[in-house]
Amino acid sequence: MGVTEKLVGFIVGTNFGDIPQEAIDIAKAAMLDCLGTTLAGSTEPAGEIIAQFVKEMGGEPKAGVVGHGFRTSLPNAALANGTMGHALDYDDVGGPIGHPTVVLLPGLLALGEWLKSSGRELLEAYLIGYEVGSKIGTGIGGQHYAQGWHSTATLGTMAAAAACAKLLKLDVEKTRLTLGLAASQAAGTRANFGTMTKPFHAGNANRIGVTSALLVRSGFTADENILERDMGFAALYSAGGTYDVNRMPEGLGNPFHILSPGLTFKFYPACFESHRTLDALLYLVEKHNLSPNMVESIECRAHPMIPQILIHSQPKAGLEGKFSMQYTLAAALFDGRVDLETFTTEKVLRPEVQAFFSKVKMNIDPSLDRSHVAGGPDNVTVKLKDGREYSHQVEWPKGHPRRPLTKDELHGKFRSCARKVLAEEDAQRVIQLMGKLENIGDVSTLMDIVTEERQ
Amino acid sequence: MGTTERVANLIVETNFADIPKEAIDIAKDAILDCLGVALAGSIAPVGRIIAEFVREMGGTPIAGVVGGGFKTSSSLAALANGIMGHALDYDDDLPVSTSIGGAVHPTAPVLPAILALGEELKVSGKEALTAYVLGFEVETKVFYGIGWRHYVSGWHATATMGTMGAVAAAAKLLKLDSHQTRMALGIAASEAGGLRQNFGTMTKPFHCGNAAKNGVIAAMLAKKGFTADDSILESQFGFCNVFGGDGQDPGIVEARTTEALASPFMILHGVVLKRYPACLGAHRALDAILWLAQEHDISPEEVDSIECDLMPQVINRLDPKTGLEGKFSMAFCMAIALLDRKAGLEQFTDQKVLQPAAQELIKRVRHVPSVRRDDAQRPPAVVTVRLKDGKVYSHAVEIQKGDPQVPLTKEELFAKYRECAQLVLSSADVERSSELVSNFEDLYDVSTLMDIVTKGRR
Repeated sequence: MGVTEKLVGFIVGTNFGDIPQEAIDIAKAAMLDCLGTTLAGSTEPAGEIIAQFVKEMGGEPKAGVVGHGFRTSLPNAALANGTMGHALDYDDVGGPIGHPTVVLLPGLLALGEWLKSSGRELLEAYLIGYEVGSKIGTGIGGQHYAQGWHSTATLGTMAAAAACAKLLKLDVEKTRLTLGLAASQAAGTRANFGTMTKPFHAGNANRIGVTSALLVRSGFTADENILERDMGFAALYSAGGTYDVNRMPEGLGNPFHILSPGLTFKFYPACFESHRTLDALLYLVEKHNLSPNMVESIECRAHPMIPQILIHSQPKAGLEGKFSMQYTLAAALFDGRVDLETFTTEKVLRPEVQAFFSKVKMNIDPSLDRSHVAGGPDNVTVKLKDGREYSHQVEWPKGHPRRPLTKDELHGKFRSCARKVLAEEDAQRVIQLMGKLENIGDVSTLMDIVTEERQ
Repeated sequence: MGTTERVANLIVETNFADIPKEAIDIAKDAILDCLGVALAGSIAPVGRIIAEFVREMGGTPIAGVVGGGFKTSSSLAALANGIMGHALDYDDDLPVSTSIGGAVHPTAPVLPAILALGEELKVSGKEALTAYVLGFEVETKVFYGIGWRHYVSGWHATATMGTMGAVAAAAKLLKLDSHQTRMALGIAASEAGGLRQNFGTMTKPFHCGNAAKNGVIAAMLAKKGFTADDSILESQFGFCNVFGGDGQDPGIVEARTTEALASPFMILHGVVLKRYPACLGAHRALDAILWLAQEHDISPEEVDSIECDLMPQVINRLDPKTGLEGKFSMAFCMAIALLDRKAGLEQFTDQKVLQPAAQELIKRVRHVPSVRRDDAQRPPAVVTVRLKDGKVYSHAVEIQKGDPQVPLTKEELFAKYRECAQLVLSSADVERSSELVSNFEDLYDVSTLMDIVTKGRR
């Protein structure tokens, strides 16, 4: 039996009852968190443009567009909501996909709204998609990302296809073809980090998953062994690196990727690779009551990969600021906090902040461990003009499975995001619904709330 | 100036008057040919499925679906029409003289984007032709820059480069400025994909529709202010790096692209207009075996074996069971040519592939790799037929009929268009549409043409 067939056997053969409760609980928290970032992202420029675009394209009104008060076709809704969900780069993080929930939930909710799927079916498809996408990434290896592919887009597409096939209850043969059709659409390069096209990658992955599953259901054909073939997904997307397709079906669901290595909930709406240094600097700022005029320089120790991900050393736009060690640290020092208000173009362009960028130094250290997704430990040293020096090291950033957010912090984050669109009582209803998701008979109840146009 | 800026400037600054008449003539032939195969493709299974899918999704009715009798959004029309254009693998290809011959179907990813947006924007024939020549230029020159390794490693260049061609054409029609065009190229680059492993399935034609649709979406989003990397072709983690960068020096890619862009237009090499609805890799061998069958009046029962290069790296279906797989099986092409002495639209059906006589003959086809010659030119395709009575016939073909060096005559082109278009259109509409394309530069509004080819089946 080939690798594609084995993975598909897992997709088709795994049911809600086979999934540990612990995984279900994290999935529910992740979905709530993603709904929050989608609601907040719906008011971002990228969210506004994509909503306007799908509205103009039009489509049978079957699935809601978050925060915009209208319904459209399933692929359109998946595209729009996925783009919104990632617009702030505030959604969850888990390797090797990158941002697992935002490539899965919007497509599943679009399909689920139309199919009137239950909360159980949604959770089942989500966890299976997450697992399969992660395993495909494990087999493909690290050169994929290193070469420039955005794994959230590419692996996310495969994850979304697996999840959508599950929710549509496609059989083994059709699920294989769905993966084949989706693989020919997987795309997204990291050069687009710090632009609207990055969140578009997430929307696109959802759209592709939905479209591929629906087309195959209608009789579309594709290669049935796409993962392992000579010119298949692994061979091409491994980017000339080593890959091992046999690792893909190894230990499927045992444990689920969402449990180990686990899922990180973001505490700051910036690229995850800035979180350790942010934690460290914010700690120092508070502990020593630092203000910008006291500081001579900030130095941080970083793995060589970090400047290749935080690619904007001189950011000029809010989105670029999210991918900038210079801006994230400067903002933490100047504002004493990093939150939804931090990443506007106006804030990035503050002259005193722009002038500070040259005082942020990254000391590249190849000996740092990148074997886990957190990528730590990162070390921040603040040198003051009076000669004092303060250092702090953070291995696991806040929100990492080793330092999880409390329920209150998660709900607080959701409320701060949802506030941009929903009334307080609607936000509370979403929290309650997601809390008992496995008992909900029809997920369109949820979509009715989050589709409401903003107040 | 970086490659992306050069490409954007070319798109923004080139106007109809800058394009030689010869290029326009080639473009018009290619457009007519693509419309014909799209019409025929609209009734192929994949054409029917995509039309039904697009209808179910719905969309603001702005652009027509070929042979469908309804309109939808420009992005979905581009998707459907692009898939139909490549459904039969009967659409044009690049000639060997380009040095990237046979690796890109230039028209099917680009034209549907132009027609869909053209209908929405009510553009003239001149504007559509300008966008077409530019789309053709960008997809082929970017590919030339990256080089053959892209295709050889398994990317379907028609899908990946076609996306860049489609966005170039769409950006031109939407009159994007240089900055917006660079944004559009950046968005499109993040949508480009397509694996050759899907050859012989419906996903191969899907690549063309997807490229066309992605081009339309990227250009429209850029027009609305969507942002992307402004140097996507040459950026460290950009298009050329992920699609051809495995060890390749980015400076060389950039130099090659720049050099190629300096001498427009690629379309002046002409296009290969296909005589058979099968993978181009099989065409020279088909020319050879059809000639042998005719010349020596070979009947299939007499045949002991057929020898030719199966080209398994391109024509990857070794055990064909469907009409689509038959198009990517050299053995089936040889078998059906002997059985029917034709390789036309009726030959590539599931029924024809599954018939016992064809499956029997497929087993008699043997792989004899062609011998590379000292001058590094492409070796000719040699087909040898051995009969049971010991007779041996052999024929070699250097260049297939339909290549610009052995072109289809105008009559042959029109005959192919009629053969395809009459499957859907009335004979009056067949003639009218071919006249409109022949005088495309005089067309005031391309919707006039689209109104005809998007009528429902007669």
